[in-house]
Amino acid sequence: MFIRDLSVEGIGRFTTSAHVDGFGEGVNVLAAGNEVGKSTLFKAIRACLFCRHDSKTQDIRDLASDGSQLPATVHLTFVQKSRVYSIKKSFLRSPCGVLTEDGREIARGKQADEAVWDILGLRPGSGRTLDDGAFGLLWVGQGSSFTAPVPGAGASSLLRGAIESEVGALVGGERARQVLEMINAELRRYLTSSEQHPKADGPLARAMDEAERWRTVEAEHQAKLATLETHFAELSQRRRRHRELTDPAVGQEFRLQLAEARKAVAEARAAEQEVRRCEAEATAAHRSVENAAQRLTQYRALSARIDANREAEAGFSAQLPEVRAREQDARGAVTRTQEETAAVEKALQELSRREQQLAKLVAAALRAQRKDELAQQLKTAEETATSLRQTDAALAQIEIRPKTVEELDELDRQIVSLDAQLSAAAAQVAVEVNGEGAGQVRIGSMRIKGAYSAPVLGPIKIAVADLAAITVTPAANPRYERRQELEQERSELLRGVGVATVAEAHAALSKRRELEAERRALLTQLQAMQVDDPEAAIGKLKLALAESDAAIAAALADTQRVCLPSTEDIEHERVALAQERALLEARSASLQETRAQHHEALEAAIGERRAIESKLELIHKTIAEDVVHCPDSERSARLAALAQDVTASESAFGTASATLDALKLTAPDGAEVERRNMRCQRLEEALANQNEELRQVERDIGRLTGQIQTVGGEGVGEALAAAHQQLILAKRELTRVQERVATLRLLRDTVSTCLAEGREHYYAPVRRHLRPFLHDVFPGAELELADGFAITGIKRQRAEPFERLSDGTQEQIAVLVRLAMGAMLAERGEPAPIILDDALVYCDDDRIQRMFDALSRAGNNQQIVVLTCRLRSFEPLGGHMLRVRSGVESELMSTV
Amino acid sequence: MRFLHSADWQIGKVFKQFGAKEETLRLARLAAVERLGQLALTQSSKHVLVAGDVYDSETPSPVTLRAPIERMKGFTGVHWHLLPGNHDPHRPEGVWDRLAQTDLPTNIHLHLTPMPFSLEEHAVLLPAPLVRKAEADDITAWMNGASTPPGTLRIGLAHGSITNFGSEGEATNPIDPGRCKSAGLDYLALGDWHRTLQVGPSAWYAGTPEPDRAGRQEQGTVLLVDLPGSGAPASVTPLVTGTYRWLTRIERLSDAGDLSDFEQRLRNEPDLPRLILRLQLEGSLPIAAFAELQRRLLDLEAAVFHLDVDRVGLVTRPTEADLEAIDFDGVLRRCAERLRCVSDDAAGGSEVQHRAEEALVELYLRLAGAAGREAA
Repeated sequence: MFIRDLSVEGIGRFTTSAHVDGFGEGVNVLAAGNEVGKSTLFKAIRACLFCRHDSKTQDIRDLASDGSQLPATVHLTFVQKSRVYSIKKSFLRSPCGVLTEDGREIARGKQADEAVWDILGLRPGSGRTLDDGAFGLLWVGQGSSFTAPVPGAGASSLLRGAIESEVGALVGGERARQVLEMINAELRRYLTSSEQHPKADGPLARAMDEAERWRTVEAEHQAKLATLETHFAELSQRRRRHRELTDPAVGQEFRLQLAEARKAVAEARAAEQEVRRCEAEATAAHRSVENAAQRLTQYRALSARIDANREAEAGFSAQLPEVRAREQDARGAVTRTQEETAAVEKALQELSRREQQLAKLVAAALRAQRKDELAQQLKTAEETATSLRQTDAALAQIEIRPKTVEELDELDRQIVSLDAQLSAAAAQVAVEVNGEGAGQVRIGSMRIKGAYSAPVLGPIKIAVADLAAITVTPAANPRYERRQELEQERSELLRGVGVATVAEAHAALSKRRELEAERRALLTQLQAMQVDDPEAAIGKLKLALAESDAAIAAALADTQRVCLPSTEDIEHERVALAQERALLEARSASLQETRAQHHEALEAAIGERRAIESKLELIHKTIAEDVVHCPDSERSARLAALAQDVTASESAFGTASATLDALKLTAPDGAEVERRNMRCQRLEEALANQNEELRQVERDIGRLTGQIQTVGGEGVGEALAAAHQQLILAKRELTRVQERVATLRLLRDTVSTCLAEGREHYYAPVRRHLRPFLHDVFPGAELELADGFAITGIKRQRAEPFERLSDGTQEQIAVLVRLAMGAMLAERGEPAPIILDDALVYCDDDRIQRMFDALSRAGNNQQIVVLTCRLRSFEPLGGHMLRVRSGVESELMSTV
Repeated sequence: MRFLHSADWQIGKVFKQFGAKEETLRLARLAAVERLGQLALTQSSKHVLVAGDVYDSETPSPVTLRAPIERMKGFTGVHWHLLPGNHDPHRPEGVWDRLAQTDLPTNIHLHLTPMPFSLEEHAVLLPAPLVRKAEADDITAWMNGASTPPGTLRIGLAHGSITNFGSEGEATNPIDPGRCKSAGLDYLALGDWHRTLQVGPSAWYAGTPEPDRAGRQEQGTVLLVDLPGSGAPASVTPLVTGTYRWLTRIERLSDAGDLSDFEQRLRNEPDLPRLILRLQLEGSLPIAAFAELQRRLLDLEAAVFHLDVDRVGLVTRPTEADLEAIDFDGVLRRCAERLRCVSDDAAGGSEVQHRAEEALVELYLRLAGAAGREAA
């Protein structure tokens, strides 16, 4: 098929007649902006070829121009198998269809609809539908170029026909696919979609869970049984031990040993008790000897002490009078020293009073010296304050400020400038008075002699005696008015500052500056005197002078003098007082030392006297007490009786010691006693341990018996056997399911491999046609094709799934596959145009050039119609440029 | 003196591999006990000697513990002599102590210690109970020194393996083959081997009254023993007690023509509803015949009490007809050919071969019509 001509009317934007011209073989490009109606033309071609003329589907209604009263008309001329056909269809209003062949009408109405399909090799589908065959594959509407081509039944049939004419049919492919579907469906019951894991709640997962469950149950029962075995072993052990512990022969032997041990211990304890009693008796006898000896010693010592005390009493009584006399002498010396000290203290007090008076005189003299300085400061302050007041008063009289003078200078400058300008522009009045007229001519009040010349800046009145008066008035000049304004302004300023001229203003300003400098000097002088407020400072100075006078007067009154002594007198008096103080203080120190010596001697005398008196008192008391216990009359008799007691006690002690030594020789020693005790203790502990162990063993037997009965009563053996068999069954089932899965996977993989190999062979013609186009754009690449011509991926450096490619690449591949399919159909003598509406949107500059190469290659075999809004991008594509003309243009063109 | 010699009741044994039929087999073991009682009555035997393994486990459930007692209790004129075996050794507080604590009737005797027991005026039973699962020593040795009055029949009762007499038994408890002679026994009633077997002039294994596994004893038996007098040879008569027959058959198949005979042979076995058949198949079959075999096995499984088929030794050898049934040409035919190559290639290993074989059969069954699928 080859499209040659297209006209539309009442279609979309084409409310009036429009004609597309320029169709030719190979590549055709209709490049126009958006909303020109390219897609509408594409839909119009489809409607004209594939829709019945009386169809009122939504697509047809959408095709018609809005509000058009005309029928939607499409007139398409095409060539098919060397014959020129023209089909014209009007939709919606007055629908009709006319088909001509080589200019001769061959069908009309419904027959025309179906005749076109016959010519194009299309077959009606079910109802009123139509399988558009290869056109559905090769005509790509706007936005459809991104999806991979999915041939319909008709297109598939054509493609298969083309393929099978070359390589034969793919035998068993459909059955293989069915088998695969069935196997995969069954595998999906067992495994997850990734086939990496068992499917949850599937047979495999259940089998695994079941095996695991029974493994756990078996382990639990085995653990219980193991525990039971342990209990059995423990129970046997305990029972054996119980028999050993309760053996009567062993018990009897044990009890005999214990009785003997206890008897031996009792004997040892009795012997030990007897030894202790004898030891106590010996100890008591020894203590009696010691007491008797001690009493004798004490009585002898008492006698000796009485004698010694009597001797000491006599000695102290002889010393006492002498000690008392020394004490009296010391007291007298102390009294004398105190009197001398008091006299010296009094003289020192008088000396202090005189020193204080001298200090007051010194202070008064200093004040007198300071008083002259204060008077001088007061005078200076008063003079400076007066000058400052005068300067301030003078400054107050001068109101002018530098800024005012500057303003006056500026006004003067402007006036001078204006005068210069006026003079330059003014007329000159020149008067020349000759000798006779001298004095007769006046200009204003000035009498002119000789020649006179001046510019006329204002009205000038020239009087010539009484003969004439000539007034020369210059022409009106704005500068003159301005000058007057400036002069007026200057006069107001001068009045404001109270001067008559600018020169006076300058003089006043100079005076003001001099006064300000003088004032700053006075202030600096005051600052040097540290005076901020002169009046306050003057007051303070006056007060200080008054205070000095008062202080001097008070000092004179205190010292009872009429005038202040000289500095030399004061110094002489101070030296005299210092010498006197030194003498008095030396005397005082000497008296203090003497007094301390006398006190020390007095205290020593008193201490000695008191010590002798105390000793005498103590000796008296001791002698009295001792004599009570040891009267002089009984002393000898008592000493003899005490010596006899000592002898008797020593004899009794000897007897007790001999008895104890004899007993110790026969009684068991400490080691023996300890050994017997230990043996008895050991046997008793062993008996207690045995009894405790017996009780523990009985408790263990009871516990183990209960545990065994409990576990045994649960039938754990049966349960374990059941669990074991269940586990075997579960494992067997798991193995069966795993083998089933392995079998299915093997079968699936084998069928898939065989199917893939068959498909690879089957698609060889497609690949042959596809490869040139594909390599135009993707050099060296190969496409992966699945059933139904589905594109699954592309192999470049590596395999990439189709759906993972970018949108642009997917579209380019989809277009290339369509070109290949078109080429394959064209090769079979069934060329169909390829129409691409707004395709290749996302191509980069390089890629679109390559796509143009592919399109050009396809154009060698069939007609390619490209509708695009990218005018400049598609310029390099070349080919025939299609143009849309309105009805008038068309008519004109056709007329030409 | 006449008595019945039985052993290895193994009451409480589980048969989980039989699924819902398990309980039937458990009950059959109890029914065998009743049958023993009836035989004792009909054969005028006052005593039934059970040579160990009365219970399958030494910790049976309370119901299992009491179930055989309830069966024996009904035969008041029969004395039941029970001996611990390796499955149910006598241990403190174990199964026998539990049993002793129940209200046992006087005609049931538990022989828990190796002590002579007077069966009748001139007959003494010498039991050798096991007190642990495995004994290194011969527990019947004590019988040598057991004194009995002259002229008294000495009957030994033990559970273990006769030394140097095969290894069928489970227990590792050795029994001297010369025990009858050395202990002067008139009869030694043995248990442990699940097979009726004479192991000496007067020593017998009774076998189990109801078999519990394939490959041993086909049908349950008990021995009727007559001892005419001290020193005289015993007369031993096996009697059938079992309900179910445990049969193992090895069948070799080579083509479809064998299938009919094969099925018929098996169907000729008596009392199919009580036949537990373990079938071990060997040889090779075409796939179509294999599918036919599957169908016949289904029929057979429905006919017998239980069918257990071991197909490990049977391989499928696809014929040209099998492959054509899959497809004459095309993808599936190539697939079948490829699987056949793998299954024929021994280099890949038996596991791979077997897997390919299974896959080929699967392919065949999926493509060869409804008959194949039904068979699968």
